This record gives sequence, C-alpha cells and structure tokens, in this order.
Amino acid sequence: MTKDNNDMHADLNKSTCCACSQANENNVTDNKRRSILKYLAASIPAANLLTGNTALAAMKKKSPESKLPPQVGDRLTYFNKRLRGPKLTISDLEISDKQTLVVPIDPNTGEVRDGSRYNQILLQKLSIEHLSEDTQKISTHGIVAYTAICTHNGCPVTGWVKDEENYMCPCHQSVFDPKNGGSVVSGPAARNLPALPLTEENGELVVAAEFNSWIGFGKPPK
Amino acid sequence: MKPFGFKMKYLSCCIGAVGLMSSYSVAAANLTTLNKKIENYKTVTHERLVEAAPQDWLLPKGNYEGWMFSKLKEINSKNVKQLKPVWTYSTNLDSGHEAPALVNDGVMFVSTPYNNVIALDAKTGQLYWRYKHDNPADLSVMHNTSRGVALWGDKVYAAGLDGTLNALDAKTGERLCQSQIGDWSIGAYISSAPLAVKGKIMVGPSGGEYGVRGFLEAMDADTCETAWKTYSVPGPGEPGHETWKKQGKRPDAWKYGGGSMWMPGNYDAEADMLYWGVGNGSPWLGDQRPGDNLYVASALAMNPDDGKIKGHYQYHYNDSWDWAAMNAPMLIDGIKDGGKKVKGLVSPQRNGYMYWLERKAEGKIGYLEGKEFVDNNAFKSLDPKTGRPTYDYDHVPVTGKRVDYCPSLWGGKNWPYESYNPETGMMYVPANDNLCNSFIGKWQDDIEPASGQFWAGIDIPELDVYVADPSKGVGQMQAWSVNSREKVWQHDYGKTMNWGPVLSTSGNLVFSAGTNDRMLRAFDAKTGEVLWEFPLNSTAIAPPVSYEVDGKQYIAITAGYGVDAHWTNGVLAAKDESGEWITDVPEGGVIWVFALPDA
Repeated sequence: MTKDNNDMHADLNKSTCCACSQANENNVTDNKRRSILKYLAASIPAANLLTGNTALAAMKKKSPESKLPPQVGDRLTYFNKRLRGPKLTISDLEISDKQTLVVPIDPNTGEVRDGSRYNQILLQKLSIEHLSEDTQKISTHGIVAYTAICTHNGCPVTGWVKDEENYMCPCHQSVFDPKNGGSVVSGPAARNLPALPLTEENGELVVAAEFNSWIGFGKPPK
Repeated sequence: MKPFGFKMKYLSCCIGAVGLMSSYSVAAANLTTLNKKIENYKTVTHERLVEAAPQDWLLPKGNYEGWMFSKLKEINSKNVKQLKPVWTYSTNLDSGHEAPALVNDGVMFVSTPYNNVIALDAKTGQLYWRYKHDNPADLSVMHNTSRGVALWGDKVYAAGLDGTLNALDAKTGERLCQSQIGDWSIGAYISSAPLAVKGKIMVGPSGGEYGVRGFLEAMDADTCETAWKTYSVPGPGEPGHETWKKQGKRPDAWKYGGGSMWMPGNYDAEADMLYWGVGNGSPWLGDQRPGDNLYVASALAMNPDDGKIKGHYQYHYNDSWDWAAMNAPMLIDGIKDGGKKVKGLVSPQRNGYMYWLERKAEGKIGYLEGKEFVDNNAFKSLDPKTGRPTYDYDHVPVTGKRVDYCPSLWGGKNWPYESYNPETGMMYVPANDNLCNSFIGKWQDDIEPASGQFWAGIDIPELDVYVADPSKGVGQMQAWSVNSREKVWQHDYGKTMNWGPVLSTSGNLVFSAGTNDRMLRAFDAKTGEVLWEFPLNSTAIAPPVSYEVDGKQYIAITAGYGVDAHWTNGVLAAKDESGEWITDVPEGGVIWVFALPDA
C-alpha cells in the first residue's frame, strides 16, 4: 500500500468519524467526551425513529477493515448486494460484456471491503489483442480492473460505450479507455482512471498490487 | 479594504457521529474563517419574510409567492445603459454556481458548489466570514451545486451535498447544529435551497436518478431536530399509493420511485399553505413502474405545521421523460378565469406546457388551462377539464426500444426560475425549444436502486441529444400575459441553451444570463428589447437579485458555469456544423454587483 493511499483512507476515516478524531484534536477532556458518548448512545434510537436513518446508521457501522483500500491478495465480489458473496473467477466474465461493478473481499476473513466508495471497482474482460502492451501487464487473461470513481467529479463510471469499448461517466460524460490504461478519451476528466493490477490463483481473480494512482478527484490527497 | 490576516475562528468539536443522529448541536472544528463579525444583524422574522421589503432579498425567489420580482426602480429602462460593476468577489471555486445572493439589511450571503457559504458586506463586497462545509472525503454527487441558503432569526441555514442541513450563526458563520436529512451514499444528496417558514426550515434531497424515494423534511430552526418528514410517494395505506400498481417485475416500485423535491417551494401566508414541486419518476421509464405514480411530476399543497399533503395536481401521469415538476408554481392572486378572478397558481413546466391552476379551499388545486410554450411531441392534447394529457406513444420512452421525444429530458424549462411582474402582468420564462433527445430504455438489474449508482434506466452513452432544426437556435426568453394567457414577446438567443433564472423589476426591466456568450442582459419588460448587456467572466446560471443599501439599488448575480448547463453545451457544440455554437465557456465563480454611477 502506498503512503498516499494510506493517508487518503486515514482522511476518509477521520471524516466519517468526526466525533472522536476531532475531539482529540481539540483537546476535549475525557470527561466531556464520555458525556458526549453517553448523549450519543441515548440519542441514537430516538433519532433513527424520527428520521428513518437506519440505513445511515448501518453504513457507519462498517468495520475499519472494510474501509481499507484493496489489499494485495484480495479477491473480488459483486457490488450488487443481491449477487454478492462468490469470489469472482476468470470464467465468470465474458469478453466485451459491459463493465461489472465489484468490491474487494478479504480472502481470509471473507470481509467485503465496501466501507468506502473509493473501493468500488470496474471489472471487465476484453480481447487481449485489444489491450495496449502496458495494459496487458496489469491484466490477467484480458481482464482489467479500474477504480469506478471518476477523476473528474467522483461519480461511478458505469456507462459503457460498446462500439469503442470505452467507459463513460453518467454525470458529466468523461470517457475513458480501459484498453489503454484507463486513459482519458474525452470529457472534463483531467487524468486517467487509476488501474488495479490483477493476477489469478486457481482461477480466482486476485489483486496483484495497489491502485497505480490515487483515487478521487480535485487535488491529490496530502 | 480591511487587510487580510484573517482571525481564524476555532469552533468547538462536533459531538455527533454523522448519520447516527438526526441532529447534533455543536459544530466541527475549523470550518469557518471569520474576518469580521457582523454587528447589528437584523433578525429575520415571519413578518419580514411575508412582507419581502424591496431593499432586502430574504428568500430564494425574493418573496414567498415565488415571483423573482423587485419593486426597486432606481435602475430602469431609461438609465440601465449606465449600469456598471461596482464590486466583484471570487468564490475561489469552479463548477456550477446556482445560488441567489440573499441580502438582509446590507449583508449578503452566497452559497457555492461544494457548500461554502460566504457572508459579505453587500455595499462593498468585503468579507465577513466564509464557512466551508465538511463534506466526506469520498463524497460524489451528480450535481455538486448549491441553490442557496435560508435565513431565519439570527441564523443562516445551508444544506450540504452530504445530505445535512446546517444552522450557522449569521454573525460569525459558526455552525451551531445540524440535521442529517438525506443519505448521500444512496444518492439522496441536497442541492436545494432550504425554505424558512414559521420557525421551521424545509428542504428535500435529490435522487431521482438513483432510485431514491423523494421526500420533504422540516427541521426545527432552533434545535435542528426533525419536525416532520413527508414522502412524495405515498406508502401502503396512504392516499395515492394505489397509483403504483403492483404489476410486472417490480411490484414494489414505489419504494424507489423517485419524486425528489429538490427545489424550494412557495408559501401562501394568508392560507398558511405550502406549494411544493415533485420531480421525475425513477427509473425514467414509466413502463417499469405501472400506474399514474402519484405524486411524481406534481405540485403539492402541504400544511407547513405537520407536512400533511392537502392537495395535489399531477401535470402528467406515469412520467417517462425525466420531466420533473420540481419547480413549485407561482402564487398569483386575482388572475382572470372567464368572468371571475381567482387565486392562481401559474407555472411553466419542464414538460413544455404552461399551466394556470386555481388555489382552492383546504389546499385543493383546480385546473384552469394548459398551453404549450415549446414543442412537445409526446402530448397529443390536454383534457380541457382536467389537463390530463393524451399521449402519442411513439414518443413515450419504453424499455428495450429507442424512442425520441421533444422537448429533451432537460425540458422546455429546467430549474431556472421564471419571474412574474405584477406591474406588466407578464411572466418571463427562460425556455429551450427545438431541443430533443432519444434513448433506449434499460432494465437495470445489475445495479440495485438506492445504492449510490446511476439508476435512471438508460445507459448514458446511448443518450442522443440533438437540435431538431439545426438552422435554428434553442434558448429563448418568453414573456406571457398571465391574464390573456398569450405570449407577448420572445427573444431568441440563437445557438445556445438558456440556463438563466430571471429577475424582473419595477424599473420595467428583466434581467437574465444563462447563455454561452457569458452575457448578463437587461430587457425592456414590456417589449423585449435588449437595453443593456455585459460579458461576465463565466456564464451565470444563478438567479439575479436586486437590493438596496443606503438608498442605492444594486443588481447581483454570481457567474460560474457548470453541471448540466456546461456539459449540454459541450454536447451540442460538438454537433453544431454552423460554427455559431460557442464551445469554450470558462468556469470560475465570481459574484458580480452592478449599480448606476453616483449622481
């Protein structure tokens, strides 16, 4: 894992857990923090009844491991919760089907790393001869993986331009070429879609290395 | 000018884990840069909001009736040629700036993309404070804009793209409390301006392209606690639920049927009734959610005290075009209907029709007339008694087939506000005609609704947007007589869409921008003659407003091209063969303020 990625996810955890991290930063006393936690605990059920924010509450219960970026050795499974579970194999993908939205899964614990949007990944099988030389190096059996997070504004890049075999972001129409390292073809995005190098073990798709660039949009994380 | 070297206002730490509570009462740290505390801030009361005194601009549309009208007339059709910029202020942000400047007794508040709120001296442009909302690091939304703030008491209320509604101290910008309204991770982010009514702050999230069931929520202005929440799609046992037929492969379509209430509503203070607009159905394809689908594409009358729906009018049933009815109708008293005068609701709608409706007792809404103001090829006719359209099914999108229709999914008029001028008796409509599109409806079972993924039932690369007659333009300003129900004048902008909200004034003027040539224009309100124009740094798609400080009238507008306005321009410019469509429109947010030279 790169320092950048670690920092980015640390930032993310900080932002989604502002009560604890910012309390520390501001030297709030332990007593005060305990009273805050007490207040929080007392307020949660009533608040959820009022607003129906159970989905929000569930989202925030994600474990720290689920927020880690894809780890070397991780497997992949479907983002769609109805389909989620099986570790994806080479034979699960057909050439030139539309990209599939997937998330990493810890092979040892079975934990799905869906605690951060930045872990949403586009997976697709393309003809090996259509892939650039560099893209072939980060693919396995013609299967490529890229972040789903658009480098323009962060929307998931779920549009599929069939004729050109490109990806299009539904928000602002940035187009990326998965055959050529996720390069920008057109639209407002300023940099490539970061790629996730893949390999395989016993037919299962395996994360071979970290993303080759930082995930997100705007300025790079500090 | 006060020198920089801001005094940083360190705010106390938040006490609520985001999402675990509906409200929490102390702000996160380091969100506000305080340059100068506002002294003698004038408290915003119910009476002041109802009065809508012309020196202020306290509401998103200027008054509760939604008129976008100013009674000021120092700047008028005789002297507008002398109008000059008097100050500007860079927001330091790109993308689409869609917020009107709210002005309270000489203090201006502007919200920006990604949820900064900037407080300025409205006379000089000097900064009081800037609040930078703490959106999550991995947040992304389809429209990263903000359409304004609300004022109540001594606080400023700003929604966040992260689905929060935040109460700020108007004098310092310090965040005092917040409420979690929507879950952005499923697509329920907020771009709308909140509306303050009688001590409650009301706002609804977006999400019509994400399988989110729309709703409007009211928050107590003092405590940030939820006061009420009303879904736009009725649940089991509620009136209207039967219009979501349990047929086909998605019998529970109502659960993620869209109907976002993503623009601020209007308020009838005399009748104590809210009027709010409801957006498109989700997914866009009506055949995936059989039935009329109340209250999608409707206007709602609601009780502001408890949020109960008292009446409705559905402009078109089983919406299949993304023709959201998110803009609430304007409230106009005394409009003529035959030989009588009625309390009216008037609204140019995204579906390309202009509607005259009647406010009846207890919130009931009656239909008076509907007229086409841009070409609509999907409606054959409207029922003369009810306004219910008869569809031409060649132009109703369906699953599995490419279907074309006009106006495009952005409609004959999108969110930019129209204006009503009671002195000319006209309404001024930012319209787009001659623009159509086609797409193939998709059954999306690879992605779940409300999972934060685009779920409109189409694959965006297959969306074809085109000008029907390439020899003609698209963007227009139309002026209609409210009483004769006829168009009085029209200005054609040529090869550009029009994304400019409209302001009219007692100075016989109509102000609007929104075109790809970056111009802010002033029209003669009676004739449509362009009397003045000025090139801004970027195209302004925010509402122009007017206010007065120390007896001097100002016109303010924030430039900053972005979101749908920007990318539709790119798509259409790429297709244009005439060379007349301007491609390169710079971005960048700048607040512009204009006035006449001192005498």
